[in-house]
Amino acid sequence: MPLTMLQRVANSDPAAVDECLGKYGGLVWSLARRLCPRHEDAEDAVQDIFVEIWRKADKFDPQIASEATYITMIARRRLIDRYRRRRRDLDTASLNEQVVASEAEHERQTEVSDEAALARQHMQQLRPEERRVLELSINQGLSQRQIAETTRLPLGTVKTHARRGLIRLRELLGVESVGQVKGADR
Amino acid sequence: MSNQWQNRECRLMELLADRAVFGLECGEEKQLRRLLQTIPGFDTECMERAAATVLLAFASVEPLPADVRARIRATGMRHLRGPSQGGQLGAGPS
Repeated sequence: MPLTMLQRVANSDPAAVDECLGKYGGLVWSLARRLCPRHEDAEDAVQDIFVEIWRKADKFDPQIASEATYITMIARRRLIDRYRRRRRDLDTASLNEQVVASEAEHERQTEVSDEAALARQHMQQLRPEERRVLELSINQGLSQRQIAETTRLPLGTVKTHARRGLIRLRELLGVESVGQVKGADR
Repeated sequence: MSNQWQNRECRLMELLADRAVFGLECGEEKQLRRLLQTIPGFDTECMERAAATVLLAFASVEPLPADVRARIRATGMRHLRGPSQGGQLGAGPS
């Protein structure tokens, strides 16, 4: 079986580093821009995330997650850590930057779009209230209390919807629950 | 599977889900650590992967700026050289 891109990164293949940047650079950059309104913070975050991805490339297991999911998980974890450290300094400044991507990069980003479409299919299988709570918490970064105020649901109900939705998503991802040590442990 | 085992696993799943979405209080973190000791080898990242799926579902991809990409690439190539030459790819703690 051919090695995955991340397995080749773990084997110190320079072409795989380029491929990783081409395929997932846009995704990681977009995630960083959402949690790091300052351009320079987003740049630092993206570099930090890719170094982490490369360091943990050898932990990637294609049996339990797609590369896009694994990379998004690492990116989210690093961004949350940074956000918690810096949230008092955050402002809403934004910077528009025009960048022309190569055709090859567009193709790679289409692959990420396919992964995103699959993720959306999984999300559609959740109950509407579960989907809403997960969207508000994970995608928009609202706290439990903020979600309760937005949705007019009790605090405990918000937590219940989040738990049930995430546990259902985990089932949809086909993950075994017990007996295996997997992934990029903290 | 005993009820006690199932209850522990259910509580573990709840705590992992809470941690992945909202984070845990100090007492919950302790409870999570205690439960994980009773179920060795549990996949502690399963909920983080599910949370990553949510983020991916809503992702809108914009291109990485070329200058940023070039800097990160240079960093990556330094890391590829390995610890003996100043790099550290794959050498960090997991």
